Amino acid sequence: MSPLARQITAIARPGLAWAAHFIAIYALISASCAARALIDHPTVVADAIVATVVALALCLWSVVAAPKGASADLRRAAFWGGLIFALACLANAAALVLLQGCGG
Amino acid sequence: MTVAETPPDYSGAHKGEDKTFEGVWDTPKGLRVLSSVSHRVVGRRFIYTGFAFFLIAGFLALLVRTQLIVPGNTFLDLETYNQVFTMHGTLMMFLFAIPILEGFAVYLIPLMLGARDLIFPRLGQFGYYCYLFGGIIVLSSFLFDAAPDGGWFMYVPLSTQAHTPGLSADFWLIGITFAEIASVTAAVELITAILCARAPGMSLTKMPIFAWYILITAFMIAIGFPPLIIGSILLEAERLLGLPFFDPTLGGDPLLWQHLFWLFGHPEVYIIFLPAAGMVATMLPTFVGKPLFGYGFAVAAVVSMGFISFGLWAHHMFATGLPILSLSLFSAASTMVTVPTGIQIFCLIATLASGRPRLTVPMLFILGFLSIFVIGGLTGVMLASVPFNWQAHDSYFVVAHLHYVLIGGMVFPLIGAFYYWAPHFTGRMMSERLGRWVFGLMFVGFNVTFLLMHITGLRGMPRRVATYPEGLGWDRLNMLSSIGSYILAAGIVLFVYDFFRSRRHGPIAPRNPWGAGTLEWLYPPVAPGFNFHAIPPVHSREPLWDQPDLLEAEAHEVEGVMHGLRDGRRETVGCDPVSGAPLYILRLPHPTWVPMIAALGMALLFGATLASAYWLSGVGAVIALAAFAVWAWEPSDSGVTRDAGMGHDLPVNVVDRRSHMHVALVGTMLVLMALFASLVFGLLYLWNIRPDAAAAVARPEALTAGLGGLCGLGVALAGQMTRRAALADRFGITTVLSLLTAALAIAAAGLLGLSLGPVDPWVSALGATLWAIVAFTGLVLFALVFWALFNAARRTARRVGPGQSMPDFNLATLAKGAGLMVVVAAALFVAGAYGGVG
Amino acid sequence: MESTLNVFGSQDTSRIAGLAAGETLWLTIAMSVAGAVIFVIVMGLVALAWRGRGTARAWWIIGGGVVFPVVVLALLFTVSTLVLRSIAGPVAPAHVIEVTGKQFWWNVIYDPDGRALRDANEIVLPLGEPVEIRLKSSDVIHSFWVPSIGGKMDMIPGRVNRLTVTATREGRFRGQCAEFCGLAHPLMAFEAVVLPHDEFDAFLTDLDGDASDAVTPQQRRGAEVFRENGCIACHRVAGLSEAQIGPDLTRIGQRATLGAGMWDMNTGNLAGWIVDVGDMKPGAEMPSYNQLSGPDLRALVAWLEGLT
Repeated sequence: MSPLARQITAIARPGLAWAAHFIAIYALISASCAARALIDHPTVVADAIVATVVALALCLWSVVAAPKGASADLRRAAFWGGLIFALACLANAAALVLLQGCGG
Repeated sequence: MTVAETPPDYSGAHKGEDKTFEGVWDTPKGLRVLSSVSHRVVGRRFIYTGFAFFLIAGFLALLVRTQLIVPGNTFLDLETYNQVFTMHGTLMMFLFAIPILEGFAVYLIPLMLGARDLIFPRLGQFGYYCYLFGGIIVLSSFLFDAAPDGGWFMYVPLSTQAHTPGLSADFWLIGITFAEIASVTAAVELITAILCARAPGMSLTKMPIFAWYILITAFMIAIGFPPLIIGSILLEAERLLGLPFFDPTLGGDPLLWQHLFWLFGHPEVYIIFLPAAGMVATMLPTFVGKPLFGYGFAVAAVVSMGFISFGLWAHHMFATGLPILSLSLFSAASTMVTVPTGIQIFCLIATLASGRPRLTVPMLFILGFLSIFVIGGLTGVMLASVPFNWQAHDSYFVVAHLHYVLIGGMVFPLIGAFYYWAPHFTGRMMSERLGRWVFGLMFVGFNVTFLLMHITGLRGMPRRVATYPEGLGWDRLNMLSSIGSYILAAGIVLFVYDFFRSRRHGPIAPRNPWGAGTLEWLYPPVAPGFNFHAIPPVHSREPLWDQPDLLEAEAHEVEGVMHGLRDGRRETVGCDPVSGAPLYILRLPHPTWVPMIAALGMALLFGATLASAYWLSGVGAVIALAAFAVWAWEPSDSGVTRDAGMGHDLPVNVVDRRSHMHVALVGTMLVLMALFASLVFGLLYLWNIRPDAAAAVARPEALTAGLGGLCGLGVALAGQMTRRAALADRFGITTVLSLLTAALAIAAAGLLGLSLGPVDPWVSALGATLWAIVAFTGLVLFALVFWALFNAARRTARRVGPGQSMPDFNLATLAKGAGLMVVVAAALFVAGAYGGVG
Repeated sequence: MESTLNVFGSQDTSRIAGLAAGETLWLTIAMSVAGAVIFVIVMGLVALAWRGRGTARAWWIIGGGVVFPVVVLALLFTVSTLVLRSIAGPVAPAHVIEVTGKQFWWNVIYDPDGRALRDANEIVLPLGEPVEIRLKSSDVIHSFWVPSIGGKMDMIPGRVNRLTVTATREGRFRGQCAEFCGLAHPLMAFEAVVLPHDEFDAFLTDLDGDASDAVTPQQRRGAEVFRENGCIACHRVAGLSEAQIGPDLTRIGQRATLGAGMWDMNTGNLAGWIVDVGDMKPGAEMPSYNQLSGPDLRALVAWLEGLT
């Protein structure tokens, strides 16, 4: 990959990680709180922790290993994009910290 | 290689060989102007048509405010009022906001990026006519006294046949879906144009910020519109055919519609905001005289906004009884979207501080945008709080909030943009003096109207009420809001007057009148039919500031690649999507009626369906398909090389992943995948939410479904082999493999259909959704078969030369996508057969 | 439609009469004040930037666009989630009231799992006790909202939603359908009446019996008119008819409003309603009874007013 292409990947990766994380959390909550009640709350929390750690790692990868290349602007975009998405992943998981179950 | 003395004889070369450069690019005269495909013409049509819808929708808003000016008013009866507010929202959201912004993008993107046109000009024309005809269908409902009256989000069951008999909801569903085709085609077109046709040296980091905004917006449209398109088709199928997707008595769920609608509806808000914010980020640096401060921040913010905006949809559904845990997830995502918004606002503030701002009219509108939009953002954060939302939801507080976001975030920048880019439309400047009045009236009128509505809402007034009793504390507030709306309307009227006045009496605009840095100002306004005689290499984001030679020479003497004319064809340079290095010459179509005929065929298809004249729908479908075939039949030009000047020998088209055709196909696959994913979401949702109903559904046949899945794999494999054979220029084998791909696709569709034999779509929502998945997959497979047979036919007809294997190259991409859908569908059916359903 | 509606109870989110409304109000005030302060600061920064003359720094964007919002939002999200937990968390309700939204009125059943006491278009709540409102719909989506008591919850066909409310102040409070539900959506309101514990119990006991007897000859004639004209085909009056198509009229004379919270309950309005319902409430399914003779109409109204 060219340096520029690497930077594009570095910008896109946190976003995709966030999207996957959001879908995972939404799916876990839906699986546990809808009529079918496929999984119980502790399982939701455990799976969510795993998902969050993975997603954070993918986001922060772009932050700590900002790809080398000519353009300071794209490096900055990758750095801050990674950080914003890392925060957003934490926000996705925050509800599980503050609430004890589907009904609050 | 130098320019060939006599170009090799391929039929595409002679289109306008006896004409000059200007002649080739000339806009057709008289009635034939309707056949124009130029982005300048199509973009302006989008803009003017969108503005016409804006005026109509604005007039409807005045009717609403007039009805509410006093309690118990009888100016409009209930039915008319419901039609009026429904059409106000519908026109504003679907037929004004998105099309007009896409119009600006269609017009500006090639000019800013150094392309002579969009890459798919015919698609642009097709999209415009879809939009126009769809809009006419929606509006014509007034003539039939069947204007939609269910609110612009058409909640079921109110919009089902039982509660809205007659055609009003059908007008909405069919007309809007038709018009949305334009949005989606424009999205694919813009993605491709931004990635594949930029000036030499314009890498992604050298793109003007507007292009980033539009690129992200286009991706959002490609993913965000499909849920609504699917939702609308399902609802229309329920209305027309009685398939019970949303019927709770048969295992459906009214909330499925809300999920699908808001999966589209929330990103939609950002789809409207981002292009307008991009305009602001383009105009503001001009008036500060310094580049946008924090370009990297802005890119990060736009990208993250694009993603996060898809995680907010359920905050429109906080009062529907979702589990508290879900509410908190969406509440958190809704608050998080503030971060990228804040970054953008602070980039603008920092830019202001980096130079000496000039207080022009566009700048006034930018300041208006900043103040109004910040309030809208703050009330948005309030609404993300679930307890507050439970009080404010569906009250006038929300009405206030959404108008702050949309008028502040979109209409103010838009009017500013009209003042800024007016020279492109009229060749003249609009009035600075009248412009200040326009701004003053709009700003005051807007705030009087909508600031008070926050209080009205907190005093308990629900939205969408045609009348209200006096004495509840709403009387004076409503009176003032109505008066404010008249002031706002006066501002708009003055703007329209100023626009028309300036066409005749405005001062003639000089070259680069505002001293901007972006390429669209390279040529003097009163635009000629073409964009660039030669496409200048670009080393900077603000080429007109940093490359002084561009403005020193006369515009047509600026040095660049592709100087003048080759082979009598319209052409531009195709570039590497990332680095912007010139890669190939892009041959562009000349004016043609074919896309318009295709759109007319579609209009006939949709209109006849509305009138229940199904044989006529068939005729429309045939016309559209025939037009598409003629459209695609045009001989391929690839396989020759030309000297593009400045040391570039470029082939006509490249046959690899960087080709514009391939990038466009990937964009299209994104749309198709999003459509498919919406259906799968619906299936899993219903299965999860109604286990009782799922247990009663008959099970698909596992063996047949499994065989179908294998055929799906075969489709992907055969497609890939076709690509290989074509790249190796093995004619006979390619044809055979194309036919094999088609045969496997037919088998896959047939087997998937057969496996659902036991499932009756009319007795359960889940069964209906299973069939919908088969129908959609079948449609994609049909397109694949059509394409494969088409390729085979062209090869048999000897219309394909060596090196012209792009259609086969792309067939593989489509085949892999279709194969994936078949495999996923088959896997779902097999899982259903083995007890997953129950 | 001239209306005489200043008799209604408050519909204002800031006139608190319920736990949720109270907690939400201070959240609203806190967020509004914070929002206003932030707005002023941002506009101040715009003004400063305008005179900046080349002083832009990247940390402005980091501070204003990332750090500040993240701190404020984390705080807001935490507080708001805690409030949410306190107003919507699981509680054992003292009473259950089932409210079913219909185009364009409200069917009410007290104690649906037990005595199943029927009423319509008025909801009586006991002071200070948590009540589970069980929300259903029989046609399209409606939304149940009493701003002063708090919260809002949709009524969705095929689903049962639950909203727990605790009234904290005696009095009458107006509620209104908040989800657009068709033609007469603006005319679909109701009154919530908060009574002390004893009076609430008395109200339920009173509801658990037949309608009051016709006393005067005119009222007796009114009951006959009611029967003869087929009103019993749709309306329930306990002891007389059990139909459940239209609103229950067993204690209509006791209600303060007519037509689902739209009109002051008085002789004139009641008579006007019977004669020309389409004028007073377009979209109502009830036919107009303009063929009734004057004496019959007066008798019918007198009887209805006596149903308490």
